[in-house]
Amino acid sequence: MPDISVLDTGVLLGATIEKDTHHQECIGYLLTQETCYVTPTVEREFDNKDTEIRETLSDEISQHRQDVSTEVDNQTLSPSAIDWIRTNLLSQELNSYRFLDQYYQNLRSEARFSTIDRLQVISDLEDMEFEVWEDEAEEYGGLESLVAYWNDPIPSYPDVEHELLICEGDDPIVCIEAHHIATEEQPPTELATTNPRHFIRQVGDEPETREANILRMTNLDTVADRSWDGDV
Amino acid sequence: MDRASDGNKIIYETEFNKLCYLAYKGLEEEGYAGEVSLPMRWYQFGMELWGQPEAYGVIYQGDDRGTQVTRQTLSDRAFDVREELQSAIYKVARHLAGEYKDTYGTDKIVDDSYEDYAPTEFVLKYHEFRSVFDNLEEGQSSLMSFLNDDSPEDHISTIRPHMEQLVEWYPRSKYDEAYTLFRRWDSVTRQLAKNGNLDAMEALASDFWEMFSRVELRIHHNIDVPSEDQADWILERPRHKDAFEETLKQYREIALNGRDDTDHIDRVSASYSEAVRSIANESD
Repeated sequence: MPDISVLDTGVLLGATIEKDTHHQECIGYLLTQETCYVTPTVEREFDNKDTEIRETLSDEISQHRQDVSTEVDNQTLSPSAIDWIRTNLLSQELNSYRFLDQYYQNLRSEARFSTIDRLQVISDLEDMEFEVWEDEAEEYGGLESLVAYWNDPIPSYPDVEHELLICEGDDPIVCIEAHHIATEEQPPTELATTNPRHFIRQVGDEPETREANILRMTNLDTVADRSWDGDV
Repeated sequence: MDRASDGNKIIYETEFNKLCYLAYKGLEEEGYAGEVSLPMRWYQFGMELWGQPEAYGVIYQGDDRGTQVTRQTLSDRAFDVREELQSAIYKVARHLAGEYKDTYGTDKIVDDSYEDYAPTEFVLKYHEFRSVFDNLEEGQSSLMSFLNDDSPEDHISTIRPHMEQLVEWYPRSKYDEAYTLFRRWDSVTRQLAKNGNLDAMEALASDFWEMFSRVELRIHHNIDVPSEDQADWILERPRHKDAFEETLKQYREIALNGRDDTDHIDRVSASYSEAVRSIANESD
């Protein structure tokens, strides 16, 4: 495994926000790597996305909770009352739609065997609003203790940038920053991502895979996919 | 008031503001509202005079209980209004002096102002919510559960019905500017209640109401305030909202640090993770 890693934003999100196997994959990676660098672009992008994701989801849940408060009068919820909430108070356009719907599906199963209090649902939603703000990396000493921030100036590499196939958002800049760190640090350097679609696979009629292109044009030694592939 | 109480009555700023508003409402009922021209705005705990106290013939002086209001000697010209209005003013003043001459403290007059003149049901409900803290300080028996630090469940069960009332009565179309902050404040307050952190909850409630007064109440509920002052208040809205957002962040952190673990999202983690990725990719 390379000594130096440069992280894409998704790895940081996986380590801090997510609560499933993506999280285990990402936090496990940070814990086993010798040095994990966060570039200036990734640091900025992570700060923005981290806040945006937590705020969006917490806001949606609290809005939904307020809708339940004002629209549901029954003190106990039957399976059909739970279905009514799913149909009428959960818009499929919400980012939180799928996991809130999954919560109600689980609740519906419970409702067949025991009474579900409306107040319990309100309380669960209140809890979820705060679970969204939890930092999963805290358990391992916090993100600050797991990564190093690259603060030295990074020059432009127009020749490299011109030849890169990756073009989405800030991804080309992240590649250039990772190339610079690889150039400066010498030991085998890896770029870790949770976005194989942008960083690894072949896209459309591009002549080579993104991974092959990045390795050919930069001083990076490997591009690692740290997203969960579904295997348990 | 001074005369009615034989000089025994000390009037404080809160009471003075309420008396002025009650007097205004009395004159309004008599049909003189258009002639009174008394600039007032709803700020925090009720209507208050807008402008320098000297313009109203009074002086404010701080003492250990609050801001005392004393009257200045005014020339006869200050009362140079038509006879019919003058008698209406005397009538209203005598009525209020009789009503409140033996009332000490501001609770009764504040409660009366809210019950009769709260501009929206939400404002009235917030006044009731605040009284939970006042009652707590007085150690009233109905709130003894608050005093038991080992029972955070009691804290949320005492607070939640008030929060639910506020949610129910929030007039979103009227107070739209502060709606998101209201929702976030509601969320953090409930968690602080679950944690049993009453001091933080009370301090945050105070900050929330100050922001709400600046962003919504004084703009929607005022009388005879010059339009340029109202325009300034509207321009100041983003600054007050941003400042409260920062305050909320600090209290959210306090609430996060004090909360017991819950695992509702863990049970739906795969679809939760998809939501996280979806928002992350949308903003690329």
